[in-house]
Amino acid sequence: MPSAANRKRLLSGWGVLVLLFLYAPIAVVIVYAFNASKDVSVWKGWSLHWFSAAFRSDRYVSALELSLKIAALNALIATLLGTAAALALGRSRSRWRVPFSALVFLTLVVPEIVIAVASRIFFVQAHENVGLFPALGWKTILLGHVVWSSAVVVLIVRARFTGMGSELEEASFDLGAGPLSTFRQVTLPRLMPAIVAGALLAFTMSFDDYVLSVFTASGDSETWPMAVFNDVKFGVTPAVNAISTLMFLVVALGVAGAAWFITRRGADGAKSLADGLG
Amino acid sequence: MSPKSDGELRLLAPAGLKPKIDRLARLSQNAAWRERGVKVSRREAIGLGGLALLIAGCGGSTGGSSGGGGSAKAASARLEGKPLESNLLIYNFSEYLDPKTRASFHKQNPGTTVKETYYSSSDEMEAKIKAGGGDYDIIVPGQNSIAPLGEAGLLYQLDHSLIPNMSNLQPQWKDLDYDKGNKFTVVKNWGYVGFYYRNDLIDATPKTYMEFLEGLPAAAKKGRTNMLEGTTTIIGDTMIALGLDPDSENQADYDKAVKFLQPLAGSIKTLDASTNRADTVSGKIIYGQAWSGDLAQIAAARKDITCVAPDGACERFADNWAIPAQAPHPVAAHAWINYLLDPEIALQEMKYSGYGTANAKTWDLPGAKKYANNPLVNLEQDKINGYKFILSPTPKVLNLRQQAYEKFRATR
Amino acid sequence: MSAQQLHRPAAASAAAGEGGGSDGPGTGAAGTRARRVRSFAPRYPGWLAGPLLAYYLVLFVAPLLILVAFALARQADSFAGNQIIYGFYTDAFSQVFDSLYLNVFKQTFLMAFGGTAATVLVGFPLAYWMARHVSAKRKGIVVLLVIIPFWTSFLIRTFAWKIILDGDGSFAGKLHLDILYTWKAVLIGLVYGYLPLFVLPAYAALERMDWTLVDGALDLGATPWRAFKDITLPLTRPGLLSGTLLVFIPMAGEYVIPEMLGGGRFLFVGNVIQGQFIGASNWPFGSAVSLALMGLLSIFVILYLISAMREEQFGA
Repeated sequence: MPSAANRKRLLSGWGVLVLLFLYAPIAVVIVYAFNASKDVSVWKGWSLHWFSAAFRSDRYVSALELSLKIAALNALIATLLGTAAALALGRSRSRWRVPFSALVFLTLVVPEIVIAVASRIFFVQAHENVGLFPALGWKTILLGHVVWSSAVVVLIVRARFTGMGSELEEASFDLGAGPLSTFRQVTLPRLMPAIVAGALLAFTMSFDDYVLSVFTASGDSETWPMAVFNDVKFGVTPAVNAISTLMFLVVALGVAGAAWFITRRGADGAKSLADGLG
Repeated sequence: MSPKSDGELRLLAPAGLKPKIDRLARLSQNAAWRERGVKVSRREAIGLGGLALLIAGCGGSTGGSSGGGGSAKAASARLEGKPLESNLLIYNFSEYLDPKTRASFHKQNPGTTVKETYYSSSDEMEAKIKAGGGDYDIIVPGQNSIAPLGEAGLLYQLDHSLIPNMSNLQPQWKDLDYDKGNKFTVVKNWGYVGFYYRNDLIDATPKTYMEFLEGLPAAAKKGRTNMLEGTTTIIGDTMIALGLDPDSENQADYDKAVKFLQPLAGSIKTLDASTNRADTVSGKIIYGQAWSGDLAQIAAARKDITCVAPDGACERFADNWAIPAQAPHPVAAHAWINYLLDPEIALQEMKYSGYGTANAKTWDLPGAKKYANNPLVNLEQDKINGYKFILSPTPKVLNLRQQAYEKFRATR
Repeated sequence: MSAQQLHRPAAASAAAGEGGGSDGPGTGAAGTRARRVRSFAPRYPGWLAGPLLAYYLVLFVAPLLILVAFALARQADSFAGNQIIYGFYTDAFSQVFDSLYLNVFKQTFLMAFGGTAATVLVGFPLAYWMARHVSAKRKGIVVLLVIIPFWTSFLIRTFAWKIILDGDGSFAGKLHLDILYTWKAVLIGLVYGYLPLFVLPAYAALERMDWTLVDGALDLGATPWRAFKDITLPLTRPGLLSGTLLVFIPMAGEYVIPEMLGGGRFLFVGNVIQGQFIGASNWPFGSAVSLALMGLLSIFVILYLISAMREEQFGA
């Protein structure tokens, strides 16, 4: 067995390698965003043409806006519903825990296209018969996404919740704090990491979702993955690469900003951020 | 989709009548929508429809889509003279309509905004229309979608008085088998399935589709071969090459096709119908099957590729303009179809997509000359007549073909 | 949350072994500070799960019931009129047992097992490194780095792999690697697409583990492998399992990645379902296949739930 230092070096090497693996396609996307040729797989020299084409197209811009809106709302709703349910599942004594757990997991087991078709039929019928239900459109896309996202939140938050141990909460009660303030001051902060992780995952999956969205959408609601998919299917224009590059730059800037912020606040800030995401 | 038991309308009828009652409800809904712009619930529709039946004094609707004829005529009388609505939503393949055409239509009809959204396969569009909902005004179904959509009452019956330019169509592209009398559709463009090969790498010179298939093993040794992913292009076209009816309901015919294809499976390197044109032009594919529009573009891009419109039997198809039954803006939709039948516009579209137009007047235009001389775009009528439509007239055909396709793919 | 619900001792709770540690019977009502009150399990009321339950019943169970109805229905013989004939027909289900489709299921599970195993193999050392060897200052950033690729469209990234792995292209081509359109390319695509789904939960579990336990064991002379096997693994099991499940289950239904990187050479259950719903419009059969897939996957979920329940009884 290699020494501790060597183990660390090996692991670090692997870690960096995997990160490079994660970013290789992104690098390709960025480079080809500057591709002068229309056909994506052939390189023909540098050009900024596609960036301006991307901005001129309101189809892409509105698709992006729609996806962002749905993803953000989805993360919010899924996190609220899912966290509440995770708390109940983790520590309630109710008999309904097991069947309800099974139901939550069932949402992850259904193939996406299946729930997509079934949902579409359901939404059409529901809208016709119960005025309360929205017609097909961004709202039905959102409703569909929440089903699956909240299951993910439940999974993550509950794993953390049950593993967290209740000693601190016991102590809080011992010291006389009531249930609400215990929750607010002890449980919630410790749970926050998992909640944030769940929300991030919910946002990400919603933003990138294709199949469910296509079937629960209406004629004039096109999300970003739908726009990309249609372009990819019949010949990617590098405009799509250009937009992805810009998105990536925005996110990278955000991360750089966070990094700067962390180093300013020192190691404490870093630890709490790390906790937050772990 | 069974009637909701909401306590307000219960129908006791023999089970066999259920499909008829459903159709009745749907027709009534469509009629109410067309005549009054009113969305009627299924419950109300059954009531209205039932009343109409009682008044008409006969039992059961006549078979097929003629049952809706009465209401359709009344509807057309209603559409004439009506102004165009302010919006038009087109649901189409991407890159299948010149954006300039949308812009010029809008210029001619400034009150109407034209939007387009895309689907990536005809099947996806069909699935969406069948599952209901959606607010498209124009769709672009292939000829094999007309039976499933039309018979289910999902297509709007065209008011020909609003489409005077229909007379511009070549006679051989009017009144086709899959839509007699142009009840639902007008041909947008037609095409066929051909093939191509790199003449510097491949020694053979296949002229028929069968020769193309038989040449696959030899070609696979020299580079990447490709065929178009999909049940019709793989199973359907093979059946045509074998002399079988691609719309057969006989399991044995499909088994023959699968048996023929299985030994060739290893020689078909990829099944790709989306990036195949780009990959061919960039030199990645050296031997492949292609739609005629792509063939024209490949031939223009590379001189070392021979593109072939096959001799003998192969598949032809027609993509059509159609209006969904529940389209919210039918007047604009009709105006759109009429506009696209204008000879100059049809020429513009042919330039954009590379597919042959069905517009007789377009071929007379000077700009069409180079397309007229292109053997890949303008074929002799005899040759076209030898090509077959794949119609998929019943669910059984679709299932048999799908299963055969899956058998083929599973053995790769 | 009423005070009664977050209530104190119950000898019953100690006996049931639920919730956090309990040491012996407790006494006293809420709010008394004079007595030493121990052993209680903070409870959360069941109704907290109410909203989610209601949501699922309407927007998930109802569509699923439609699916079951379809699986037991029959396709009409013509396109006119109703396409689905409801009733109790088992044709669809019996078709699932045709040898063609059984083979497809087998291939699919092979793909899912292999893909999941590869993802875990690649992702676990990464998660371990992130949890143990990355400085606290940098941890947050590394986590974000892992997530960010997910915010560019997965289709574009998979398409980029086509460019990278292209045998004639400037990347794999120069290395004379011709693996595009083979199962190796599909495997790379799968691992790439599903990696964060495993790494994040695994990292979460590893991160909150008490590493002093491992350090102590090493000090006491245990080999690193022993420490890992007997301390790290058992303690992080819940997170690792949930991460594995989060990868395995969707992967069994995956068909887009194999389609793009496999050149259409592979037929998986996802392809069959998609084909039946869209190409053939044979919704009864498509529904039957979906339910069959769900049934098989549920077995794994049930196993996970059993182990998770046990986890809760003994804490972690």
